[in-house]
Order: sequence, then C-alpha cells, then structure tokens
Amino acid sequence: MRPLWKTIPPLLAALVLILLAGIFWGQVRLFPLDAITQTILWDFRIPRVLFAALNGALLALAGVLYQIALRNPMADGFTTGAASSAAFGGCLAMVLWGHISLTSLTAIASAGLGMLLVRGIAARAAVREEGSRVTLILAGIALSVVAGSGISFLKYFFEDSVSTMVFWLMGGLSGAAWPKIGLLGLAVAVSLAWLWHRRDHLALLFLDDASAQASGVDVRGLRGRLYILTTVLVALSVSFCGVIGFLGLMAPHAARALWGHGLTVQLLTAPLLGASALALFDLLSRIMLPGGGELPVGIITSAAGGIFFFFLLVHRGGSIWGK
Amino acid sequence: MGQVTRAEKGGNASDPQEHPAARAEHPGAALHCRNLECRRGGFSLQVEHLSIKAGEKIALLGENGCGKTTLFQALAGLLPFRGNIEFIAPQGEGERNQTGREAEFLRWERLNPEERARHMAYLPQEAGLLFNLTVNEVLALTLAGQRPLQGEARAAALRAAAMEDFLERPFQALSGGEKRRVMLARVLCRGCVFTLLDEPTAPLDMRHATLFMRHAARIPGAVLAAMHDVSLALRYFQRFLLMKEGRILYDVAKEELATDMLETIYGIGLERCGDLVMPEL
Repeated sequence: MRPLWKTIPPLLAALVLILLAGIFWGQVRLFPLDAITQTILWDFRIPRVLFAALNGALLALAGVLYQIALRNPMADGFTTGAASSAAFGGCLAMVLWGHISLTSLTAIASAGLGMLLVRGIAARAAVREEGSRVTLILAGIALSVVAGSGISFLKYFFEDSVSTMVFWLMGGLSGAAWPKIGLLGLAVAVSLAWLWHRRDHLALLFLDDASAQASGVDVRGLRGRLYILTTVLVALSVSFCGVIGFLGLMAPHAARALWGHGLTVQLLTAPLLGASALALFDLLSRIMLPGGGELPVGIITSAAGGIFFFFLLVHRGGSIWGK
Repeated sequence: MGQVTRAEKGGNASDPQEHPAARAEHPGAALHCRNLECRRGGFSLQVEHLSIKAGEKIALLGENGCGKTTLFQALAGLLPFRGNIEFIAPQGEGERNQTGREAEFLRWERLNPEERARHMAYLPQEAGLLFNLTVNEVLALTLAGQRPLQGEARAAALRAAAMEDFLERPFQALSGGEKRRVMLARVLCRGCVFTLLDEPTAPLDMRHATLFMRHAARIPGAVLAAMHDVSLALRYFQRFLLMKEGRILYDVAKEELATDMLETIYGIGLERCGDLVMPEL
C-alpha cells in the first residue's frame, strides 16, 4: 500500500478541484463578478459545496467508526437504525410543528432514543459481546423497518406535509447555511481530534475483544462511546439534509480497497473520499436536469454509489473487508 | 477426590524452578489467587488457592470445557469474579501510596485494564484480526504507555514464532498456523511479567511448536499455558495444574506428575515413558 504522504495530497487536490467545480459550475455563470453573482457565490455556491463536502466527510467517518465498533462490514447509519429513527423524528417535527427549524433537535433526540432501544435489546438478548454486536445490527434493521412504517403513517395522515417530507427524506443539500456548516465542521474536527487522541486504543479494537481488553482497552466503554459519537454524527447529517443513502457504507469500503486498512489511513481517506463524492454528486444533481431543475442528491448517491460498489466488489472484492 | 495443592503440602515447590532471569527482570513479582469463584452461564470455576511467581513455566491441563479459558479470562480481568487476586508488582514498579512507600500488594480487580495490561499478556484461543494489516502493523498494536520488547529480546521473540521473514506480509493472506504465530509473536513481544496462553501450539506443526516452547521456557516472565499436547508440556514446563470440572485437582511439579493424575482428569487409560504420554492400546 502507498504511504500516507503519497495518498493524502492527491485526495486533497481532487477534493479542492471538485469544490472549485461545484462553486463555479452551475446554471448561472459567475463571471464577470458583480453584486448579484457575488451574492450567489457567497450565499449559495460556497456554502452549498462546503455543506456537501462536510456532510460527506461526516457520513463516511461515521461509517468507518460503526464498522470498527461493531466489527461488521454491513454496519452504517442505516443498518444500526440511527438514520431511520432520526428521519422519523424529523418527519414528526414537521407534522407536529409544521416548521423545519425544530427538525434537527427532534431528529437527534429520536436517533438517541433509537440507539438506546437497539443497545438495550442487544444487551438483553446476548450473553456474549460477540453475539450482542450481531443482535445490534439485527435490531437496527428491525428499527429501520419500524421507523419506515412510522414515516409512512405520518405521510398518510398528514397530507399537507407530504411533499416537504418526501423531498427531505430523499436527501437534499439546498438547506445549506453558514451556521450549519460551522456546526458540521466543528463535529468533524472534534471527532477527528478525539479519535486521534484515542488512536492506539481504537487500533486495538482491530483485534478480537479478549486480546484488545487484555492489551489494556476498556472495550465495552470505548465501543459505547464510539456508538454514541457515530449516532450523533449521523443524526446531525440527517437532520440537516435528510437521508443520503449508501455513502456511509460505501466510502469506508472503497477507501480500504483503494488505500489500505490501517486506522490512520481509514480515518483520513474515507472522510476525504466521502467529501469528494458528495460534493461531486451534488454538482451532478444541480446540472443534470435541463431547465434549471435540481435532482435530490440522495437519488444520485444511492445509484452512483451502488454501481461503484459493484465495480469494487468485482475487481477488489477480496481486499475490501480483509477476511 | 481431594484437591492436592502445593499449599497443603506445606512446601513452596516453585522456588527451585524460579527462572534466574526472572529474578533479575521482574524481582519479587507474583500473583496470588484465593477462593476465586467465577460463573459463566451454567458453568462455575472455583479455585481455592493458586500462586504464580515471576519466571514460573506452568502448563494447565484438562479436558475441553473444564474451565481453563474461564480461569484465564478471570486472571486477565475479562470476567467478573468473587474472591481475591493479589498482585505483587516487581520491586521498583509497585504503586506508591500517599506516604511515598511502595504498596506491596495490589488488588488485581481494582486495576484498570491499562494497568493490568502492563503486567499481563493474554493470548486467547481464537485470537483474530479485523481488516488486513501487515504482520509488522499487528505487532505494533499496543498502547502508548506500554513498553514492548526492543532489540535482541524482540528479535528472539520473532525467531521463536518464526516471523522474521513475514513482517511485511498481509495478515489475512497467511495460513491458520502462520496467523497463530503472528499472535504468539505479538504476545511475546509485549514482554510482560505474566503471559497467559490459551492453547498456543494447537494449530502449529511440530517444528514451530518446538521453537515456540523452547523460547517460552526461557523467557524471564511467568508463562501459564493451556496445553493439550501433554508430552510437549512435559518436555518444557516444570509445573502442572490439572483441572477438572472447574476445579484445580492437582498442582504439582513435573517430577510429581503421576500417570494416574492424568488418567483422572482425562478419564482414559494412559501410558507414560519419560516425557512421552500416550493413550493405552
């Protein structure tokens, strides 16, 4: 595998290029710059691409952490139930208060309750820690189904809010705003700083639980903290831009297949890949439809991510999970 | 069936076999268990008394499911237990109390995992790895505050696991026996006072099992290894703990290990010729 100093600069360069393309490529030409185009630049384009990149980085980071904490290649915000329960909370806020500003808080609270429920079920159902992680994924999938049913119920009974809910659930980045960008940036920075501080403990989670614990890691405590952190990250993303599918699952696997399995490699490359991917998909969503229309980015993420993942499975399947 | 322990015999037979290097590197270190009780599911482990001193090489024998792994996990702090495990830190490494005096005994269960791991390494039966690191990266998996072996001691540990030429190889591309040797090398490289090995040689061929056992018999720290190859254990270890149904029935030196003791714990007829133990025809 290539050393980090050879891997990170090209990834950063690619991200910067995509961000610049996202800023200057769109339905409205930004040159020559005047008062109107400057407003478009600072109030719409730059916030939008940063919002997309930070959301992508956050979802990819959450995916890496879920997969390490649960030792499961299928673990991400969806299979653990965090994204769906956050989405249900967001929809509930829309129909109860009819206003999008309370969506974030309700989505985070709902994801937190979902996490407690899934962890509680896993703890009761399994005697061994190994078993509890599998139970947790199964309970998370069950929670996703229940939350999906709850969302369908809300759509059926609150017709006035259906279009808002549907658009939000499909995942969109049109709600980009500087305070949200600040919050997402802070979440990514604080998470990475904490993970860097605990990196030797985290790397020991690559071993089986008994070896990790006997090597000095409080496995249960660390796994619990990781689980809380990732749930908050996913809920934050869902609350700001709806459900953006597949990125949290795909980006970590793609990063491992392309650049290696070391902890530092994963923690740096997966978020960079996630940021580049979502910024690129967002650009595509803005320019694909003729006549100035915009496609919800979640549609492209799921389609493009799925196709890219098929490609990886065919060509580098053996090196994705490393089993 | 009465429990025959060294304590009941009134002697401390471990002294003569204490490894000279252990006295130099981990002077005075020991682990004393009293009335240890540990439950897992419907299984109960009960150990009235067990002492392990730095440098001792102990084989833990017993049939499948007799409690060897449960004992290891209790000692390594992975399972809750009743009773006492007292740890005597090597001289100069004990924790100091408020008056600045070194504490003689430390309650093992009160140490956090990081503190315990400074003194004890544990190789579980099914040690595995998530993702695909190189052997070198696996060996480097350790906490920042710990002091893994360096220089010749590390090279010797790698030689014992025959891992010198595997350092850049990806772990997941290795065979089952090679993976086991990587995990053995990792545990040996930690250089702890106490090393617990759960069936260390089970998937190894005769050459690699011998290389490892020769090294294990020479390292300064104490080694407690669950073994199913009784002949190999007799060749290299000096003290034997024989377990049955969650209890240590016999705690004897090599010279005291009688064939009928082995027959009791395994429930079959055995023949012994020197260090060679075989089932009766």
